[in-house]
Amino acid sequence: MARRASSSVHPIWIIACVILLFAAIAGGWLLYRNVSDPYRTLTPLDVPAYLENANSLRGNVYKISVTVDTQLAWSPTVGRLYSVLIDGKSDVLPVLIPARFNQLNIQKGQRYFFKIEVGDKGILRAQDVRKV
Amino acid sequence: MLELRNISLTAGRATDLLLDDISARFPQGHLCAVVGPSGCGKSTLLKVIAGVRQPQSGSVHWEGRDLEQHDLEPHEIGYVPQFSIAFDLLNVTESIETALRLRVGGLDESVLCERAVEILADVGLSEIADRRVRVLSGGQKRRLALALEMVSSPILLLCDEVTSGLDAKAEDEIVQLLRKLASAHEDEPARTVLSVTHSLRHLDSHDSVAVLFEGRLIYHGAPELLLHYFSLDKQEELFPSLARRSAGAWHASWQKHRAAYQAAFVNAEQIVARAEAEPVENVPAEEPWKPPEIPTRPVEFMCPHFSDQFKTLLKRRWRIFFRDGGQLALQLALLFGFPCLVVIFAWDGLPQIQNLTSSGNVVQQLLETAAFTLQSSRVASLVSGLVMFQVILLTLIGSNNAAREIAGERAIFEKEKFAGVRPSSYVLSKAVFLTTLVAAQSIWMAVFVNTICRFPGDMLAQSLILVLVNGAMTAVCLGISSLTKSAEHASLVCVYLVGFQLPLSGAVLALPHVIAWFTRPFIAAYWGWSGYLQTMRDTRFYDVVQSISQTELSPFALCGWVLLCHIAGGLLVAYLGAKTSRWD
Amino acid sequence: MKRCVKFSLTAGLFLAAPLFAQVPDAPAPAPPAPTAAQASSPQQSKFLGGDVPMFNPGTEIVTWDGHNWNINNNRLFEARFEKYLNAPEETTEQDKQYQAILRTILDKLAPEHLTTKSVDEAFRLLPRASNFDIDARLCDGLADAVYSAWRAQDASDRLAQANDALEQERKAAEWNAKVTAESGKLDAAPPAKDKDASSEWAKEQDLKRTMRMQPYTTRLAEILGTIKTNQAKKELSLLQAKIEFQALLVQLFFQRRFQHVLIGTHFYRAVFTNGDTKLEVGKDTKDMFQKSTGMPPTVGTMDALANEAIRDVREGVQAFRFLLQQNELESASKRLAEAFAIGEYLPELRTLPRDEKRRVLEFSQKSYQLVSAIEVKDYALAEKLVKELSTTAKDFDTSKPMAAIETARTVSAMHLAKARNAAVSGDKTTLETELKEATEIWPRNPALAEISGAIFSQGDVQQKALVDLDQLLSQHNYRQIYDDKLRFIAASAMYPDRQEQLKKVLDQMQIIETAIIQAGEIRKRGDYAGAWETLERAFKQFPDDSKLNQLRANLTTEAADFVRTLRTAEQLEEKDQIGSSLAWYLKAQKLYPGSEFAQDGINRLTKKVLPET
Repeated sequence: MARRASSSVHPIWIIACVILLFAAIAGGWLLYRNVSDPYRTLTPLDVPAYLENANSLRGNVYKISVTVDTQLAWSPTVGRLYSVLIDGKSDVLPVLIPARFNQLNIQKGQRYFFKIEVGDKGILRAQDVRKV
Repeated sequence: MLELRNISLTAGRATDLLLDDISARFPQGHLCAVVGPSGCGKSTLLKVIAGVRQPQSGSVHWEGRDLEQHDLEPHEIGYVPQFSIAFDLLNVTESIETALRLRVGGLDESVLCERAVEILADVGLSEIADRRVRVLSGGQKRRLALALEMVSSPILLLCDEVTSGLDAKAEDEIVQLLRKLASAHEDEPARTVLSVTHSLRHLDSHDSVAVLFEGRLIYHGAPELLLHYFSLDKQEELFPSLARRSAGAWHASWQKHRAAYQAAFVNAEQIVARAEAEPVENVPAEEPWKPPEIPTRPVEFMCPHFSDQFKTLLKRRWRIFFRDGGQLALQLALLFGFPCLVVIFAWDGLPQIQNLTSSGNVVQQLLETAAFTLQSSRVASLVSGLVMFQVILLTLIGSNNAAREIAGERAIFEKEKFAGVRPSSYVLSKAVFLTTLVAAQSIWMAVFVNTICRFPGDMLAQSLILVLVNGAMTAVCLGISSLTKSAEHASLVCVYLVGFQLPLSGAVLALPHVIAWFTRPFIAAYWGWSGYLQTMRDTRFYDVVQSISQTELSPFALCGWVLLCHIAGGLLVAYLGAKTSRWD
Repeated sequence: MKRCVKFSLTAGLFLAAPLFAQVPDAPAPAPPAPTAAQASSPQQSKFLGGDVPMFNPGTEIVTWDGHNWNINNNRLFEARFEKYLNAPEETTEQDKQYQAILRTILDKLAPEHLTTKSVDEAFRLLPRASNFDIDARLCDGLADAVYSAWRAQDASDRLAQANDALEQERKAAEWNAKVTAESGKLDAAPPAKDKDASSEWAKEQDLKRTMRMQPYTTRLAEILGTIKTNQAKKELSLLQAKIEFQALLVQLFFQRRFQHVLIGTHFYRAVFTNGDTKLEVGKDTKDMFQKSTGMPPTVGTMDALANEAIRDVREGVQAFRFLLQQNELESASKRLAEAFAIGEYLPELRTLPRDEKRRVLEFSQKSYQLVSAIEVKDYALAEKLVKELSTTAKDFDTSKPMAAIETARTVSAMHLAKARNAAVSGDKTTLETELKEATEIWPRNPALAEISGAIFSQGDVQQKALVDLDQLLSQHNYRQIYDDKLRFIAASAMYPDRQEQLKKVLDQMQIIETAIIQAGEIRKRGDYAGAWETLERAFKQFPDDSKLNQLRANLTTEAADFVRTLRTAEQLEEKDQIGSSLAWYLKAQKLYPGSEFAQDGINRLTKKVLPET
């Protein structure tokens, strides 16, 4: 055993450091997952299925990560209709942002997470909006 | 009694022997002068005895116990190194008091002060008690060093060239002091004092002289027998006479005569007989020699509590901080100057962004997109640049905060650690001290920039992230400081670390994904930049930065987590580094 | 000037030659004394029935009696010249003998050798020369003329003696008349105061005188008349002989028998020694001589002219031979033709080698052929001949014939172009006029047959086109109408109702074609979706066009994604699945941002989602 004056780090500390490191990484990963996807528990919208037959998905709630493309129409009472690009795909979907989100300054090019409901006639309505 | 048994120490290769089979005994109440030509291993021997160096073979025993197995307590051993072990900006009294607080626990304030006065009186520094260490003379510093070791009243005192560079009078005084320290008197027990010295003038004041030559002990005996043994007329001829024979011959010769000279420690007649040939001072009495009675120390010796050490260290650090004009000025300059640098680029605030319209024909949309891209790239560059500028400046500040923090006083810390200061207390005091600086710097940066430039976003969150990024860099640099050998080395590494922050952050140029995945977790600047931008999430600035930047932005919480991990890691490394002995 | 004189004379001789022509193998005609008298009679005012021929050496055209002849392009001349060129050279022994005889005759009649004996010897050689075929009995004629002259001279001597006797009688008659006139007394003088009575008295006295002289006057008149008659008879016989001789000389001169002319003139001088060599010829002939030579017509003139002609021919032959050596066939032919025109019977010409004449013949034949081709406006042949001639003869001037050929070709082509245009525009009148003009200018123009054939067939084509148009209109096969629009436009030019229908169809097709072109251009840029949409819009208007359908089908394949997307969107819209339909329209718009169909769909569906917008 080394004298007190010439003691070095005990290997236990190295192990502890490694464990802590892994713990930090794991914690970060979990945090990232939780934070990066606010709708973690929701299912992503099956875009091909929606395009094929929206009625089959009527009433379901999904999540989508989009980039705002164009504002198609606007009504002060009903809300705003946007065309959005699905992240990672080449699909474009119309999403109706209800009037309760009118305070949001939604601009072209912005990325959002939408919690959407497939409504009547296949119209997608946003239930929640969060910026990516 | 201190006993050295066949101590051998090599430098690196087996052939580079620093100490070669040294065996000796040093009783209590014994002052031994360890002499020899330069580089013969005197200081090394002391370090081996202190435990600073580990011998390849042999052992050191104290009172019959192997110190390898059961080392001396911090308060039992005192080691006065060659380097200064006091902070220049403290005065003598503060140094002593601090040392008392750090090494001796259970003392209330009055007792502590009293003790300090005693110690000062013992070492003869009472008259300059309020003088700063910086202005002390060499001899005074040696006295102070001795005084600092005396706070815990060690029974083994190792002095490494405490008289070097002193004039004759000062040397004489020191030797007398050592003599006094070695002898038991009043409440002070007898100590074993080993004093490495170059001077041969006061050998007679010592109980024994150990002569080392090329790592070998070639003589350990009474000073009066020295001349006889080496066939010298004068003590000053010792070193030149050593050249007559090789170290091995001398060692072999000593091996033959060692027993006799050691027995001389107990045979006064032989000593007297020898002294008839040459009068020798301090000839032991005719009785068979026996170790003098050593008054036992009070069993209760309290090591200071962790918190006491922490508080003392912290208090000392603040005191030094405020007394260091240069450092203070630098910190103020950084504190106020860097934010000014940032606001220069956005004095008029951030430009607003004209949004894209969704209507119009394709050509019009394309033109708008092009104009928007141009505009947004400008704004995004400005915003991102300002944020990153703040972050980088804060990392620079953090580096400046901590780079020299431990490395700059490592020797003193090692000494203090040797004397019983806990590394944890030490690191914690550093952490708290730096945290205060970090908080002030970062919060001021955030508030100042936010106020002047009207930066959008939550100021609290921005302050937090800046504190974290500054803290992360500070902690990491503190860790580096505790690992590196010198302050300059630490500064250099920290500067490089800061230098790599910007390019590896991805804020300016996106790193390849593979590299980014590997390096990004370690780049505090990225997390600070990303976290800061997340505070502007609800603004268009965030959008344009996100659209222009090829580096993805991480969530605020994750940024905070990573930075906290940096802080924790840095502090952990600092602690581990502090725990590691680094006497060089 | 001399050349002009020479050619005038030559032209005159040449033109007169057909009347006096004596081909070598033809028998000699009877002495053409009456003919010569007729010819020389001034009462017959015209020269050989027409004006005096005038020759322009610049153009080589002889103008006579209102007609123009190229001296080198006269059929008669051509024929004779050609015959000469084909004839072998007269270098046989007989020919040489004949020439030798003529030379001997001339030599004997030469002034330096002229004696009665030489004249007789020369006279004796005449029948010998006449034995040769080439002489054509001309020497016999000369001999007869000389003999007649000598006989006339004998008769005139007797008449001279008779006149001497009559002269003496005349003189006596005149003396008697004179005496009678002087012896008669006249009555008493008239009263002087009365003029009328005086005049009456004078008249009465004259009457009385005349009555007394009448018998003598009558006799005198008889004697004078007889003297005159005898004189006339004498002169007449001598004159007749001279005239006959002169006529022979003139005939020989006109026959271009210059050797015989020289022989004749020498004999004339030898026979008629009074020095009177004036030719007693008609006024016209005299005028011609005067105008041509500037001298009164005399035997000497004829002698000189004959010598001149002989010399000229000799020089002409020399020139010909030289030019032939230089391969300048045109000039050589001309020189030979000129020499031939002048002295056809001269030995210089008769002895020319046949090979040389053959070359000239070939050139001449081609020249004549060229002239004929140009005359008949066969410019293709003319051009061919020009090329051949320019190859054969170095000095052949191609500019004139080529100018004529090119001019004719160009003008003909212009008229044909006009005719073509007129045919296209339906202007029949202009068409016929221009075709006629073109034909007149160059009847054998190869393009003429082709174009006129095409044009003439156009009339048939037009009817057919109209029938086709009606049929296609009834079938609504507008594509076919459009493809053949030119034909139908041309055919319906005269039919306003059909024009109206055609216009409507073409307008529609224009829209389709424009769309097709636009689609093509868009497609070239790689924008298949845009091209498809362009065609789709046109298809909605005109779904029956086959080409449009075909292209649309092709583009449907090339822009399959876009078309499929759009179709899906439309289908979902029909099913009232607004959300997904809108998504498909958006997708289509993404595939082709300029898509109007997609935009319309989006607008419709957006209105359904947010009706208040």
